[in-house]
Amino acid sequence: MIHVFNRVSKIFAALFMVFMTVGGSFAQDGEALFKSNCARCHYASDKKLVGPGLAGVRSRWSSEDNLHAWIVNSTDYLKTGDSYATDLFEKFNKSVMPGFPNLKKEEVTAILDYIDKAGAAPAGGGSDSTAVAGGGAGAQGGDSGNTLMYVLIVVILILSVLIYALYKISVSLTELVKQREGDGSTDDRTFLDKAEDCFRASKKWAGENKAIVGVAIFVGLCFVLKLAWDGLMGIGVYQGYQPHQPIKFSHAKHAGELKIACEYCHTGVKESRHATIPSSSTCMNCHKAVSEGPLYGKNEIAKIYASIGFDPNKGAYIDNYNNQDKEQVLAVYEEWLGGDNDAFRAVEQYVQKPIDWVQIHKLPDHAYFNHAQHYRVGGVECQTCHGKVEEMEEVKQFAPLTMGWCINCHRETKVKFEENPYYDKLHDYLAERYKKGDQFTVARIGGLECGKCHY
Amino acid sequence: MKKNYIQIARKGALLIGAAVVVASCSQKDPQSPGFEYMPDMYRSVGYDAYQANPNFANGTTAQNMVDGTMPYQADRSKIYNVLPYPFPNTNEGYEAAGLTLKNPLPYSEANLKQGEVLFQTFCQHCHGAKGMGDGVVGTKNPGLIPPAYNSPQLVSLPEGKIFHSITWGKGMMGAHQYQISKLDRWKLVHYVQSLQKTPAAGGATADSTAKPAADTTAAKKVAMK
Repeated sequence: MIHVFNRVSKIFAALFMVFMTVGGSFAQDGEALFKSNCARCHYASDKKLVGPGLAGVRSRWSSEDNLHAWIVNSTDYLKTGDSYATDLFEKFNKSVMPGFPNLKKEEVTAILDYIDKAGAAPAGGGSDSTAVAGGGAGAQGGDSGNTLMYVLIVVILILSVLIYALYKISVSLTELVKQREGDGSTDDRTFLDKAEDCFRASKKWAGENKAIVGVAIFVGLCFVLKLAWDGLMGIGVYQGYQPHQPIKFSHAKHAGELKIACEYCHTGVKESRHATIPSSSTCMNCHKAVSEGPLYGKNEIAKIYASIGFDPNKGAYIDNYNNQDKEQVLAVYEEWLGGDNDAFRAVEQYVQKPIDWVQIHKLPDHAYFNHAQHYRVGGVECQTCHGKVEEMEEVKQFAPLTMGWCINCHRETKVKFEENPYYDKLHDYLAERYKKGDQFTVARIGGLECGKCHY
Repeated sequence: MKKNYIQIARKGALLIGAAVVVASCSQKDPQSPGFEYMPDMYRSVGYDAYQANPNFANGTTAQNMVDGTMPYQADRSKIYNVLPYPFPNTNEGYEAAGLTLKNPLPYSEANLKQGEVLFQTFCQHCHGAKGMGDGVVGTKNPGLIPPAYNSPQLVSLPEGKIFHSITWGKGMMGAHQYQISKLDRWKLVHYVQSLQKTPAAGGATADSTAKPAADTTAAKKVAMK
């Protein structure tokens, strides 16, 4: 009985093995294996990443065995002196492909099968297949005010034309009636005479209804004075300032959707008075691989490339970029953007130039503010002063940044003494002097002193 | 009496007119910051960090350091941050760093904790919260999926190579030396090493014991050259 059981189990095991090795089950495994082992450096299409695009890789190699040997251990394979492998190694700046000794032969075959299948499909690597509609919500919001104004102007124009036409018609009709009645005496008063009559009549009416006129003037005055007051108080206050930036960088995409921390790009916030604007090299940490975005395609990312000197056609930096011939460099980006089109002209101005981001938050020169002090010592969230930037397509100044606003916050915010090495000494001193549980605002430890910010 | 009334009305009309002018001028356009009160107190006479500067050839105030110099560091405890990094961005440099570079910071609870905070800021969006290569960026961009720290390729990566990779970048990862100071990078190394010890899901830890030896011999070979 046991013997039979063993035999049956053996048959099952054998069947299982056959199923694993021969069956088409590796087709989807190939994809998973490709993604976990190869996708970091290779696209399945003909697009370059760190290494070459793998579409048609089988046909490029002399034999499948050689290709297998190369994949499993490229360093050892190079020693055989295969000319194709050596060329490849030279072409990719002698960067070594890590060995994959843990990949079995069938697994490599499955990966290659997957590449054959995926490489034949037109999709270019996948980074551009995630196209999302509906960018620039902020930009559209900014435009809607203008369109409303245009609509209003057009409506007013149409109405005034209508009123003028009606007036003309009524005038000619009265003329006609008068002529019909055989009055003979045409109205030869000029327009000015008529206006004077009208003015006299309204003056007379105003004289008789002083109360109504008085109230109307008072209400109008209040309304307009309020507008004027707000306008005067807004002088020097940038709140709501939302300028277009040279690159349509979407914080909603990067900080919101991709959950990249604010401090990843604005690194200075921990150490310095400035939160710092990231240099193009920080953009390149990701955009070396992502050359087409889901919102604006190639157009915006190409500006970074033009500024820093990255050739997206070759997937490599241009040597000694700032001293290169400008015509040659321009040709690179013209090729990438598909000719002398609008996108290319927008990119042209950033070739070999820094990107001139528009400053939004501006404190007057006579006020000192330090990001590191607020971020590290105060533990203030970025959003407290900058609003929900991670939801903004286009950054807008959230806070008024007036002195009253600063002072208010210093009056209301409790100092975080706990586990805060910055305040170790001060905390001990205050703890000795005051009762426990007494809350300290920033104002009570000198946060309102003039010299703290103005010196 | 009548004349008086008309005069008041006239003055009122004048005031309204002036107010309308002021109100219309200060209308907020998102493209414009609005009026500035005393721009000479607003704008610095000296050049600000990000201002355009005609005195330099490339037109910016922020300049790269002169070759062969290093920044002044007043805080003696952080002097390590400004010392030059001796290993170049080459395969040889990578191997040599793996062989000789050692973490100057002790493996302590405090360093590990700070490393974790740094990791959440600088690494997790690609590498995932626990370094499993499952960050949000990778899910949207297949070109940016890093290997897990406990995968066979990385589980036994020596600390020097981890540091070198953060410094110069590796594969699709960019150089992070401009964003993270050297001591902070070493804190990150501590944390990454703690993540390398995460048990692998597939039970692939078997070859992790065999690999370090092979790795160091390869490194030695390179160093010999």
